[in-house]
Amino acid sequence: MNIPSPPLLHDTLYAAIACHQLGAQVFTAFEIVEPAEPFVVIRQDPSRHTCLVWNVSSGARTLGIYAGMSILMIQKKWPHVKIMTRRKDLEEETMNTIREHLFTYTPSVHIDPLGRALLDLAHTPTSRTQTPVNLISQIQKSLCQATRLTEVAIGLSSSILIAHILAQSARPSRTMICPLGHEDAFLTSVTCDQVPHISPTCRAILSQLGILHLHQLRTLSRNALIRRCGPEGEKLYALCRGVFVPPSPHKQECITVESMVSKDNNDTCALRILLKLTVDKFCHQIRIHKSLISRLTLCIVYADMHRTQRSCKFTPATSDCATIEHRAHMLFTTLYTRRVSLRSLYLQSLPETGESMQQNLFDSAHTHKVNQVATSVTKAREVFDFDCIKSGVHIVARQRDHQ
Amino acid sequence: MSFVSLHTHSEYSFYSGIPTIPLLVQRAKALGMTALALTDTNRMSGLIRFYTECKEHGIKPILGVELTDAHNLFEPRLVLLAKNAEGYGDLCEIITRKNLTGSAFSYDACFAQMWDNLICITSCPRMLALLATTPNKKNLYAEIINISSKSRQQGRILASLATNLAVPLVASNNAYFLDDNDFKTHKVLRAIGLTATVSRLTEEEYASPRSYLRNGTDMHKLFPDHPQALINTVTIADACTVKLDLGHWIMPTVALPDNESPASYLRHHAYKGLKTRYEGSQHYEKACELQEHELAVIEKLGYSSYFLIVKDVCDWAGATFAHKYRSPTDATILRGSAANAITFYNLGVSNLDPITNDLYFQRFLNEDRASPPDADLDFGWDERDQALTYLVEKWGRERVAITCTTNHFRKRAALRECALVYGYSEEQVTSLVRSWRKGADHLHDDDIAMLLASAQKILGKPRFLGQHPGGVLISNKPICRHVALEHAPGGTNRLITQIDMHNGIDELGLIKFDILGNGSLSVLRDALSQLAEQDIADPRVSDLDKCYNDPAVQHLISSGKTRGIFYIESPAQIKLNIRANAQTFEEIAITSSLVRPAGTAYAETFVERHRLFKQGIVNWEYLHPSLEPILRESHDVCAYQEDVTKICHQVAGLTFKQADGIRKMMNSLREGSLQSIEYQTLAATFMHGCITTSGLSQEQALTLWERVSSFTGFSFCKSHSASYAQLSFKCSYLKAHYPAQFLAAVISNNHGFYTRDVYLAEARRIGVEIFPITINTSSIAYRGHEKCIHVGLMHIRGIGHATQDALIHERTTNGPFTSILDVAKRVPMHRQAIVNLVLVGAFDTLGLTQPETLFVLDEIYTKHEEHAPSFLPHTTTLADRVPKNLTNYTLMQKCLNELYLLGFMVSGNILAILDMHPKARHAIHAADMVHNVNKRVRVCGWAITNRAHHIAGREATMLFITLEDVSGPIDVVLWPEIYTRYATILGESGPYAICGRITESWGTYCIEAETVEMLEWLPTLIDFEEASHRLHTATTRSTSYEHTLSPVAA
Repeated sequence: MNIPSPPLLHDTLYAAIACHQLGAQVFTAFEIVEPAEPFVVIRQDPSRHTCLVWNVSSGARTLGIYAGMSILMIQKKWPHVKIMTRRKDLEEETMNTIREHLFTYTPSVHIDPLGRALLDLAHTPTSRTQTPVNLISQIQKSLCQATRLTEVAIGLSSSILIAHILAQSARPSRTMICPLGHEDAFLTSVTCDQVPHISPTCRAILSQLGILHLHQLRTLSRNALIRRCGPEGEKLYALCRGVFVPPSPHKQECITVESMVSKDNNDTCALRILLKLTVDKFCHQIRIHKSLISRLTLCIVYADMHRTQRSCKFTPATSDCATIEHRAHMLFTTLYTRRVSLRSLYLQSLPETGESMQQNLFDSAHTHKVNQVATSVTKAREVFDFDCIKSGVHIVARQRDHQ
Repeated sequence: MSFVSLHTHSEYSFYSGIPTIPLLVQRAKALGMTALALTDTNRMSGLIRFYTECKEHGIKPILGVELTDAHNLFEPRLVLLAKNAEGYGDLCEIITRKNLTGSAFSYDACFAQMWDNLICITSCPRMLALLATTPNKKNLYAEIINISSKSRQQGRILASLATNLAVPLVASNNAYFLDDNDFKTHKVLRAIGLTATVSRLTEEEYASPRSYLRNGTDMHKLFPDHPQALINTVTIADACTVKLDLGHWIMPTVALPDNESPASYLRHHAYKGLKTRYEGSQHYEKACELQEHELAVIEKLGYSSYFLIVKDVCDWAGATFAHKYRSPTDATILRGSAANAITFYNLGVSNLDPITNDLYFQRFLNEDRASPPDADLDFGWDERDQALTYLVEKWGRERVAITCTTNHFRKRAALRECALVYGYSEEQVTSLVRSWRKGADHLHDDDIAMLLASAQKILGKPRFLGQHPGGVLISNKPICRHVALEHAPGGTNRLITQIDMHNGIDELGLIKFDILGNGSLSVLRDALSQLAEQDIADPRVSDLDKCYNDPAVQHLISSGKTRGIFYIESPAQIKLNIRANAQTFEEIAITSSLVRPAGTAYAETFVERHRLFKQGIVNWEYLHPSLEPILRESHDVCAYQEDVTKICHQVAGLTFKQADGIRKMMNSLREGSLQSIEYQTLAATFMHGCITTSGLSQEQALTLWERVSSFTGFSFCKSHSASYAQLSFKCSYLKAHYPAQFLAAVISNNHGFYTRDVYLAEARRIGVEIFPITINTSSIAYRGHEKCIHVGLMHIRGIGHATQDALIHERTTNGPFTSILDVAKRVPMHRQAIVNLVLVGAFDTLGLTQPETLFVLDEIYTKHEEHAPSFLPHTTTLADRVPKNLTNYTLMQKCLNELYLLGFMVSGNILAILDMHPKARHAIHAADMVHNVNKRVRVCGWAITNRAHHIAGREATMLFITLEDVSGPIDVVLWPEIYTRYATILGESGPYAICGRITESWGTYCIEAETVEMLEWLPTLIDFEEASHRLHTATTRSTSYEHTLSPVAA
């Protein structure tokens, strides 16, 4: 018996959802601000001149305000526009509601913190029973009802990439569909600005080279793209051929060790001891990660929240505590000014490579011994607690004072 | 009780000493001291003032200095006292040696030689042990101090060491302040000096609260066990008797031919010049008479060498800098009152004829004048350093130095620094200073009040030494025997004195020569060089008379098209010239003086009378006939400084000294001084003199005094105005006939009142086309040719001097560049520098579009090879490597790239683009103002000048702002009410839309603003293509300017 193959549309069907300016919409959704009232959302300290607008309400958009504007300009030019500080809790609650609601359509839901979601609707009951147009209208309507958001855009296509592009283009609150079989024609007309998950630097490079559309990208070889855009060239090569590349995973986390200065400390010696202790904690972390560092950053945070930092390089990469301590003290000398009291200081580094255990082949017996002790201390601290073994810098300093 | 304070600091111990010198001396007098030493830390800035103050108060001055290395006040320290005048020279030499050698200074080496004329006192055991092994042991004393437990402890160690070494003891209090109330201020200053906070200072870093000036009784109580140490202070004071020979000018000795004295040699050259200048002219006899009179005065005062040195520098400049078309005298300008002297005219230093210009020698030099002559010689800004080097080479490095200037704490800095040392953050300080300037209420808080009180106490304290813009000192013996020297700030390789002009340079008798920089001389040079390169022979350029009488020049000036022209390009000067219809040399000299603060009150009267005078109408009378010969040119108003001097001397019959005194007083008169006894006495003397000498009535004398006394503030002397007017006319001639070359030179020298985009807009308005940069033709500087200006490489962001030079050198040596690859191969450049070159259109003529060129560039530079290009072995041509479908930049992108990288647009015109702004729809243009007088209008433009003016008496401020639109400049006045309302948005370059009423005055138009709006300038709001179309179609408009706008090079 010949079983007719299911329609192609049902093989792959993706809906991308974009909640436009989610950070601003949640304020009206939770009735903190009146819907018609113009307001902007910020993530920084509004008293600082560097503070920029993060999200804009629809009312503020009509005034000509856009994300990235200086908050000082807003205060000067539109004094009646409210300035709200980002509410992560509301955003999270909304995201949970969105997630819960979208599960009613499909179990395959991927959602990111900025309010962008991807639904795999292929072979789901709703996609079988409804036309694509009705389907996305229903999703949009029900989602708005469930979350009380007003600006939700949806793109529907058999390609993930195109669905994302459509959702972005449909903002703030439209729905767009790419009919089956028109994907290639659509892609050729897409501009590079519409392609998702590309860094601003990469966009600037493309713009500078006069590459504005995906069809122009397609004519370039993979090597040519990598040569000009670095690792993102690889991603561009796939994107321009309609292959969706998810955003890069989060960058490797830095090792950061911070020490707070408990009081207005006047004693440079005491601060140096604190730095020494910080280095001790930092080296402990390096050993736990079993890694080497090739770059060290010392950051000093002053009581007025100003911060200043400086970095140094290690060639070759190292995990040697004495070397790191020496360089940390050098950095401290260049950075520290006595005029403003310190709030904290921290050391930061990206763990570069795992230790091969071959770097110390020609170490002296003394160095070898010191390293062995350090390793043992780390092991002990891992088992019990960091403070189970105290650093001796205080005792040394006290002895020196007595002398 | 016998005691002399031998270790005392004044405020010239920067960031530690508190008392001013007069207060210190007065306090010493009050304490009954008969002698006092001043020993500032590593510094001799106050010694001469201290010497004269002590002499006035009958106290014996002991001149000394404290040498120290560290911030720590207790660290190795040595006090040196001069026994006599020779010892003062030794002090200067040691301090200079220490300052110039820096950390390499060695006490061992310095004191290995015997300093017979110095007393050495030290409180440092190490230093004592060191000096005891040197020949200076016989003049060595160990200093014991008893002001803290630490000093007592150190004193005990020192005393035992001194006994072992057989060195006598001396008691001291190391005074930093007058009484213990100053201790807090001392700590604040120490914290400022050490960039710490007050709470973070350690005990070693500040003096004890008991380090104040004490009398003998107190000191005897402090040192009951060391009576001999106190007696030794008197012994030392007796041994130190310095008699400085102050008040005599030390004229540098000029090398002369045999049997010639400076006077005879000057006479010889002056008469030689006189023959060249005047022989055969109607003024010959008068010139001889004047010359003889001047030479007599110069010889009597002994200033012949001064004139010869100025002549020597000027001759050198003429020989060194004279290029084609530039006559030797064009290399420098003698400005200021010195140009009054016919001697300088005859020596060829000045080009200003004192007879035809009726200049007044007595303003420059007279027998009553106490100060030496002051000739200010201007060089091109980039040639001044060569002139200084010449002086150093000619007179010897050890005999030449530059005068220092002392920078003091002013209100703002005092408050800022005080707030910082009390732990306020930068934000708090900024906000505090802002509120303090506005007089906010919270300033009455206790903390803030304490801060303000601290700031008040450090107000006026010296902070650091700067470099005088011109004052070069030359002496006969090494100058470091007269005054201590140090390196000039800013890393320049010059030496500056430690004593400034107000603290003793004049008393020391060192003669100052002012060598100054002037951008317009460089502009003139560069414009003439361009003409020479283009083989344009125009002898009228160097003929001043031809410039003065040239109708094009006269029209240019009287119609106010003088942007870029030295001295007459400011909006106020342009307006005054239009209103007075100024065209001639004399008129420009007067208007340029009247526009200064002292003359502004008379400008309106002058304009009214002068316009009538030009029509042959004279409807006013002189206040008194005796004023007619003095004020004829300016129609009975005071225009120059000489007018005041002449009125005082000739009408009121005062001596030159008195007349000069009144002039100087008027120059710096403050409101409070009007009530001073000195002012009232001068007024009475003046009026009495007018009545008795010239027969004025009481009422006329009073009116005349009111006129003289209202000529207050900054003003010019006639010779200064006239000297600069000569340069203005030369520049005007060039602008009138060779605008492209002239404006290119103005922009290349970064010189002028306005920014370079304003000059480019001016060039476009007068029909000069702006051509973009091309890699194979552009030079570093801007070049003008016929009716076009080629933009130079000098202003491209990210391309430094070295890269510019390398590009030009490679191109001239090995031929033009063929492609971007060729440039990258031949010239070592950073990738971003090449990208910037591409984006400003430098490679547009090589066959590829800008994106294509950048695409090729990336073939040789990868993201990780920014500095070292790797040339891949390609055999294909460039064109083959470029994809065919790269989109070229839009006009907007090109314009914005240029705006970012050059600071102005070449492909478009930012003024025309602003015309397309939605809010500029109903605005009128500058050129249309003439048709809308007394109407309310709206104008849009970029602000090019912005000057606030404080209205005295009303405690209000108004603002004058000049906008520029595509057709020209628009003057706008904001009265105090309007200015207060919009002050927050004014102060940037705009663009602004301003509504207001047009007013007219003597052919000048301005808008009295009613509302001001700052426009949002988003390129996305404007259709660049249409703007460019408008540029193409716009040809002429009904305007005083010609509007041939440049086509767009797209």
